[in-house]
Amino acid sequence: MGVIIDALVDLVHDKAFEEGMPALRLVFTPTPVGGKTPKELAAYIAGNDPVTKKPFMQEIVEDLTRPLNDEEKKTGVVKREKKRFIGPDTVDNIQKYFDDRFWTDQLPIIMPTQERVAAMLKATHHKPDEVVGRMRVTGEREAWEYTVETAAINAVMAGAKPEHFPAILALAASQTEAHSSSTSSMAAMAVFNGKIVNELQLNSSTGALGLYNNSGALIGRAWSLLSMNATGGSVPGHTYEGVQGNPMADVPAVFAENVAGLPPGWKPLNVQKGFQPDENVVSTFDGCQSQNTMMVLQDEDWQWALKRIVGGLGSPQRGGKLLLIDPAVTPPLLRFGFDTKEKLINWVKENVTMPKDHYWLDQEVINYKLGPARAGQEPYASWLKAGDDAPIPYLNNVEVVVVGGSGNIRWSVNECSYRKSVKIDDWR
Amino acid sequence: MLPVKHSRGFPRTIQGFTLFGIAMACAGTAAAADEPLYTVLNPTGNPPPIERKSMAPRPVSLTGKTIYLVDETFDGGDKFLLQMQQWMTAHMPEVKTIFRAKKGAYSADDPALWKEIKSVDGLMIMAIGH
Repeated sequence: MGVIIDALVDLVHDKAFEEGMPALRLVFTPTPVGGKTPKELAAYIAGNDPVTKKPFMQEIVEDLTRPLNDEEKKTGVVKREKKRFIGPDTVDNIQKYFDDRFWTDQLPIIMPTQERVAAMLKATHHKPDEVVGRMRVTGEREAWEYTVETAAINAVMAGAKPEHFPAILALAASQTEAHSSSTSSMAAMAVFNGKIVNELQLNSSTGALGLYNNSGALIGRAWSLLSMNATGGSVPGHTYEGVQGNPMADVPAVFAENVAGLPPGWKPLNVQKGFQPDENVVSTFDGCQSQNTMMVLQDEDWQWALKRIVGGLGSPQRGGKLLLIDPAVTPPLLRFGFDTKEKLINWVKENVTMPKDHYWLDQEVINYKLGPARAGQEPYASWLKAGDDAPIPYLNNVEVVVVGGSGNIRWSVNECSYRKSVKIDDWR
Repeated sequence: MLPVKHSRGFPRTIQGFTLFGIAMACAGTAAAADEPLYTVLNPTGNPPPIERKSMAPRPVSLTGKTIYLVDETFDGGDKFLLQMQQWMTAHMPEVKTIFRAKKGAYSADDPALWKEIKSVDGLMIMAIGH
């Protein structure tokens, strides 16, 4: 049997259902458990289950000894079907039906009629029933699969045009969840390289990360809706648990690298990932939680400043950082010796560190890395054995992309991890 | 706008499809006679089938039993279980309790621990901190 906080009552019942034990016996504590003193926890144990209102320990004993009923003994396979069509009904009623099930971002959608979806599907040679990939709301939940048609339906809902569809399919094929259900409220980003940037007029300049570009906004919204609906909708308490939410998750930042702004020696992202410069590629980043901008680094203390800004965001449990460099900021970086992106990436990985004793006191590190460390998984096992003030180089997923309109000598560090690069022309 | 009510313990997926099965789709306002009607496609993906598993049989009594208190390493679950162990030691002397942190990341399997628990015909309470 399990014990869990009452804030996750719906989620844990969903999870038990997915695992084939819908009647799994569970007892609940008040929320939270983390951060509570021993005295407060003892009061939880001596008190009542906040869900059933029964004495907590009495429930534990009963759940451990009550004979199983027929429902709890059931085995076999349960198939889950879905109805293909909804309606006929009015636009307002269908919108409400979709909103109520969290199949939308709670904004008006374009009705995904058969005719509109068929027009979208003409933009690819792939068959509608071809499975494009699978997504999970979090790594521990069940994987739902989605087809080319699923992607087309969500693309129509987002207002995307058929010319956007191969790019949307490539994002779908990345299997990067743009609407993660993590309690830490994550978002995602996508960076485009290749000729498609001009074809779709994707933004790499002023306002690139925002909604100042029609193609980027439509592709981003389609990616977001698909991520919500591929897993059955994004329902608070069930399939969305972001404690505070994340404004970047509603419409993920979808933009192009400013290839014209790359200094000599700096390769575009698609080339870094093994593609040719002209190949149309979309690269995804997830786990995005925050963005921090700063102005140009000074010659006198750039090392200190770079370590401070890159190391200043988020938990060291997350090894990802995305450095978004405006072209105006590259001259001093070249002066500091970073004549390739890789040199900058490696410097950050080696020099942004945290003292060992502080690293292992970070709650996310405890949650995610202590178990693997104790199980002997490297490098965490060695980091656990290191001296108290040993520097822990915790960043393992650092990327550099050039973007921006050079309206100022500004750049940003983003709490994001690189996931995958997908060739778009494979999805035409 | 009211969200669909999901009763506790009744999975969203099952409930959603039941609603589908009840006839139709939209329970909103009545359409005006001249308002156009649309039939649209369902935007959701396809869930995997569920393989039902029988739960572990229960003992008639806990007397003489060993209960493993297993922490899956998330947000204070260990501290909570140690308090539970103190309570059980004081109030349930007929029961032996063993505290264990599950090996590996919180979502990783720990077959060696499950084997150990089975070998003593033990019971398990797993706490998930947060």
